[in-house]
Amino acid sequence: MNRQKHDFVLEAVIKVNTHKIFRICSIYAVSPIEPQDLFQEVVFQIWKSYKSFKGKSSIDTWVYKIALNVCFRSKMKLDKSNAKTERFDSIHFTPVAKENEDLEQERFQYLKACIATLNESDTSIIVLYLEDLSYKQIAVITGLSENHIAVKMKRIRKKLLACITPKMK
Amino acid sequence: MFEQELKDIWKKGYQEEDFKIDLSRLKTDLKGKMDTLKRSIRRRDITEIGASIFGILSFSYLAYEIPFPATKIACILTVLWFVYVIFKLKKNKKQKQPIDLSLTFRDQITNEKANMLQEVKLLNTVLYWYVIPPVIFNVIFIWGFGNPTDFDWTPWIIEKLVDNNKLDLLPISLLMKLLYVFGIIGFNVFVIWLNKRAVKKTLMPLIENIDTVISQLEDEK
Repeated sequence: MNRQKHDFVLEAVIKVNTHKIFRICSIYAVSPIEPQDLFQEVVFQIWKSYKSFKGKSSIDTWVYKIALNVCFRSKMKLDKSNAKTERFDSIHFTPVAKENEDLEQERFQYLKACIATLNESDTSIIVLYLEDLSYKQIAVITGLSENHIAVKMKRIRKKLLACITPKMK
Repeated sequence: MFEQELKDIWKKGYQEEDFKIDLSRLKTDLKGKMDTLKRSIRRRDITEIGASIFGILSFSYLAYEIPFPATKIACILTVLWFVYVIFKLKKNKKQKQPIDLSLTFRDQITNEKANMLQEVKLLNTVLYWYVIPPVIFNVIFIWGFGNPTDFDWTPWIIEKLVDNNKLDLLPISLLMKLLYVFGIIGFNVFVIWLNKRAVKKTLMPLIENIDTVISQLEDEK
């Protein structure tokens, strides 16, 4: 693939997956690392690794793998260069107030709080599930079998329900 | 119904307008970050090997310059040891699994654990490859060090010490030899302690965390 085409495809990949990546980063960011820092790191790793993308899985699945691995490594402090990095000028984060935002944000914060009570393994599975990924895709990303994911999801669903239902009332 | 509701909450949590990416400028930013990363890797490699290169050059010069036979042999052995350290560190780096973020989550953390265990092994064996050899060579160096005037060895530094009446600072007398030897042993005990501490405080907790996640992934199979 020539350089121009590579950049064009990559731009499209980033554009399509921007919000998915950011949502995952928001779950894994642990102070002083902010979701914005993690998001930037995921975009960088996608750009860096894209040449090695072999097309064995869909590009979306591949992006999720990178996002999950980068975010997990950061949370577990596995990266020696785990410090906050300089923000890119090309990525602007500007919160915009919207109608009904308070209620949506409140519900989202409840969900985040409940996800935070899960263990690392369950967290990785639920964030992919909430992104509407099938058990098959989650299995490809995590390296577990589809059956195993199904069993785990049953338990996670139960935990999440028990946590979030009282908050939503 | 419950699940769809959760998915909706999840997706509406962050709105599209919250951030924008200038894709044309992003490429420049990414290239800039890549360049910075490459520079820092090069700097790290130079620092790692730099100390050994400096040691090789210094002890080669000493082996050539110093007239005392035992000290000369110690210098040559120290040079060989520095070469071994470079080889050992390079081999250790080569044996590590590359960080491939496109692997599955499980494979990625399993690789990470393997790399950390290898690091633990390297640091835990510091006594045998990083401490004992140079301590032995340093002791030979010190014990073999004689009186420069007996060997008619008067380089600039020795002349300076003689002029300032400070030749006694060299490991010529038994007392000074013992002081130097104990100093070296003390320093190397500190090196061992630092490495053991890095294993205990940094690596082992990370390995335990990875083990926990692996066992969480494996359960209910």
